[in-house]
Amino acid sequence: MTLAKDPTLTAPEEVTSARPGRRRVLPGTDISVWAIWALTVVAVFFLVAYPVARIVWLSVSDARTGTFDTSVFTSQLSSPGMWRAAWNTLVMAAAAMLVGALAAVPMAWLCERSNMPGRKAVTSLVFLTFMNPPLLLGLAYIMIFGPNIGVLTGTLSWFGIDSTIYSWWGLILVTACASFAIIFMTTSASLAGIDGDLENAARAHGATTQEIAFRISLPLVRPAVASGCLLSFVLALNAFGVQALIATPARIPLLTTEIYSYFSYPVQFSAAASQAVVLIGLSLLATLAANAYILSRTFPTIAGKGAKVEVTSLSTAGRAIAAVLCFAVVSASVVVPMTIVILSSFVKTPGAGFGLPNLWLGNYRQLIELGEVGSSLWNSLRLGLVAATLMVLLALSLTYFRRRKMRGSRFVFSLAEVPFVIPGIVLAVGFIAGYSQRPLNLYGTATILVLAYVSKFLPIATRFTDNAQGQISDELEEAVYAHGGTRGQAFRRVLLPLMKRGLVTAAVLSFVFAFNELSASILLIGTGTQVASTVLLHYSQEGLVGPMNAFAAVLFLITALCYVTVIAIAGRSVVKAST
Amino acid sequence: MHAGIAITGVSMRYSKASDSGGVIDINASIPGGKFTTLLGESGSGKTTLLRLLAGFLRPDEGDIAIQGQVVASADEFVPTQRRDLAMVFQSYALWPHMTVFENVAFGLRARKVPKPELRTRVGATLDLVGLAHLSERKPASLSGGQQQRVALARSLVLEPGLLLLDEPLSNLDADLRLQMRNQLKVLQLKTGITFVYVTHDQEEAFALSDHMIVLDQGRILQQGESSDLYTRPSSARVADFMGRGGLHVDGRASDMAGGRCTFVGGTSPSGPHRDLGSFPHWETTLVPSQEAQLVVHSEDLYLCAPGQRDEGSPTFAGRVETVNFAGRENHVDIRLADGQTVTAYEDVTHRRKMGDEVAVGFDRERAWIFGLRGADRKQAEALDSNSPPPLRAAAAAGAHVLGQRSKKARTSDERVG
Repeated sequence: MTLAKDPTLTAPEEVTSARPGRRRVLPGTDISVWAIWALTVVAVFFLVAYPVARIVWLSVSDARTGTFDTSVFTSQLSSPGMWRAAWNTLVMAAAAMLVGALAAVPMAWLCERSNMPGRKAVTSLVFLTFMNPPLLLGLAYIMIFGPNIGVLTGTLSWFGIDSTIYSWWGLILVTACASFAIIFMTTSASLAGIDGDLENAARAHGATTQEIAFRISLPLVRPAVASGCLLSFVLALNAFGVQALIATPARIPLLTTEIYSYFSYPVQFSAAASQAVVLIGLSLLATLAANAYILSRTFPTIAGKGAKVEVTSLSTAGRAIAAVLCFAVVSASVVVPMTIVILSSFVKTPGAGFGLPNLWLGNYRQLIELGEVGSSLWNSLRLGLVAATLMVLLALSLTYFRRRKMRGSRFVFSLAEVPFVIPGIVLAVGFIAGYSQRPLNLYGTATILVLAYVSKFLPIATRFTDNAQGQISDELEEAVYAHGGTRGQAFRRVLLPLMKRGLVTAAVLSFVFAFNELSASILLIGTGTQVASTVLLHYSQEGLVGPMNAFAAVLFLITALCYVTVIAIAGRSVVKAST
Repeated sequence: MHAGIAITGVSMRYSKASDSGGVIDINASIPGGKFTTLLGESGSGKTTLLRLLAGFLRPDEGDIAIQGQVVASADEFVPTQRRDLAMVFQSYALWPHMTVFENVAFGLRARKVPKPELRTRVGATLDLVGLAHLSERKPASLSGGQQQRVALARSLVLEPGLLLLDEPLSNLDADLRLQMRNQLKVLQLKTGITFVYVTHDQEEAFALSDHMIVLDQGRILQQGESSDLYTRPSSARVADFMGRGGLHVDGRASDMAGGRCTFVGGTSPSGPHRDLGSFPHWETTLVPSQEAQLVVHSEDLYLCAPGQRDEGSPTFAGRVETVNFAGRENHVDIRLADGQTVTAYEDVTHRRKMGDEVAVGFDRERAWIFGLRGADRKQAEALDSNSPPPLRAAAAAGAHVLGQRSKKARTSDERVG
């Protein structure tokens, strides 16, 4: 996420002294420290650099002979179908991002700067949206606005809409619901970081609430909004569940779904890789645009823990309207869809309402009878746990060395953040390209899934470990050395206990993302390594509605459980820490 | 035997930029068993020097030896934890998740001191700083002064050869500061540990130290016994630093003989020069007819009626700018004819008003004459030409003003210096 580096996001909580341009002496640096660093570098190389390089190579080589051959790439580049898919992908992600920003920025302001009722509930529900997998959202919206079974499909015609969820508006709406949370999170973190005196000064000079909001606060958080928008753009590309469930039946070709289709028989590696490269290009373009915007509008003045901000008092009517609008958004993004998911899991005949006679537990029985649920849940669980553990260890090492200014650590750290802007399916292509030949033939194994999860979600884990370390002043560690303690003692007895909460939070979040991961898993699973999300997608494609609904409810409950755990450990401030 | 320190040719820069802070070519010896202060403004390099001693930084050039053992040189570097030292941090750096007892016991545990002995030693040290009753509390529940004493106890319990203190009193309020200052002095005398203490407050430095090293822009201006530094500063800069600013008169010295010289000067280079009389001087670098500067500390200035020509001393005419009542005395700012503003302290029985004509006088025996060397001259010129007069006074007041102003910015600024 340093790709969209925004100093306002991290500055307020930093207590580390900035010593300009000087590598910190690592006291007692011995062979074991170097070994850990070397291991970290190697891990990042194999998790990020190598697979990404392989995608690029694959796109310009003959998959069978492994020789340089640009024919597939050039034919792809000259194919109007590819460009249509690329254009559709861009429109989908950009439109979802815009819709998301229009909702998220005012919401963040209301939650941070006004006395709107239910601010905490809104913030929490946005965070639940962030953790919730897009696949579930897609399923829920099909149950709401889908043809035939949709609960509210009929009401659409009142508004003169004769299409169903399988349309452009459906795709953009659901994608926006799945990706807007990050904009809210970065914006509110940035708003919370503004020194209250900057706004108080405007107030003292006669500015009205509106003027302060539009001329002081919002301009100052623009970089944060921009970086949130970029992340939401990337999350939109990543919402493969939504694309597979909605774009495909709506006959809207997207790069992601096209790449997926190249992997059905006959497999066309180079074509998939070419499109993957185009998709990386799209992400890269968005990243560069966001960075250019952010760099030109970042003001260093807003770091620091200054005065408390003044909360704006809205009128009674204003509070009511604001609350209704905010709750409408979180209702659309998580409350209503997930309620529908849970209710539908007990429905006997879909589309026949939720009356008592239509409720049963048969869906769960069918789900168990299908037999895949146990093994896939077990796979997701153990792969998620292993991946989360590795992620946290790796993230811990990366932040540890970067904060101690180890040579090359900044580069390796940034490299580790690259996968966040690479759509999961593209990453999967890279892992297949990199690890499906001897001597490293991991295709179809659990290992390749774990590696892909670690690669994809490492940036989220590093965000938390970095934040946790940033709150521990350097002097606390130096005090250990100044009283005869060793590097190991400093780590075990001071750093680790003080970072505990951040680490557990990182672990739970990493776990839930890995557990629900779909877009990379879809290409990487083998016969024995079906995971929960791929099984769920499979059920929906096979039309196994009953078991599908039951399984979706189970996955949501597990996600909700992780959510409750995170909030219990880290409190609501986690919303701001995770940006 | 407690550690004496020898610093030879030590340089360390934070980056290649010339103004990036750090220290340049430091040669100093710090006597063992004594209280030594590193005194300087923010950015002077005093904290850098302390961190070099601690081993948190490695010198680019030069050697550091503690009690005869080289701890940092081109091919040797002893990490902090093996230097037999302890440190009290400006922020105290108490480990927030440990109790007071655990904080103090940490170093002993790291040294694998057996439990019974550990308990006795921690108990005794907590008694020494008067915190035995709080040993099970967490640092966050203690007051600033108590935290400060825990930090001190944590270091003293190790009976280190060398104790480094990085502005340990700067986060305390005025009363507590004085109290802790006395306690520090007593503890140093009692334990005989070598204290190296960083501060920007010259009053604190004088109150505490036996030995003093004055730093400016990464270089040592002067080092020696504290009393010597006060009575015999080696340059106008040090003199400014030691007192609270005062009167500066440019001119020329002549007729050096028997430790005295005659000084001819006006209150500005272009103003009318007059013979100000015979002054004591000891500076060997001073040569006849060289450009020189006369400096008098504020506390040695007195005010008299204009035109009143005191037999013993020269006077300079000026006008009262502000009068600040400071309890037992008034601080009177006077704008002199050349534009410089000087502060004088006066008994509250005098009632001066803004705009009153006065004359500023001083005792010749308490004035210093310094030859202006290249750097000093440049500085003096810069002050003359660039700064409006009030700023010049502020610059002359030097340490004090800067010290006050930088307090807030210290966490970021000061560590660099």
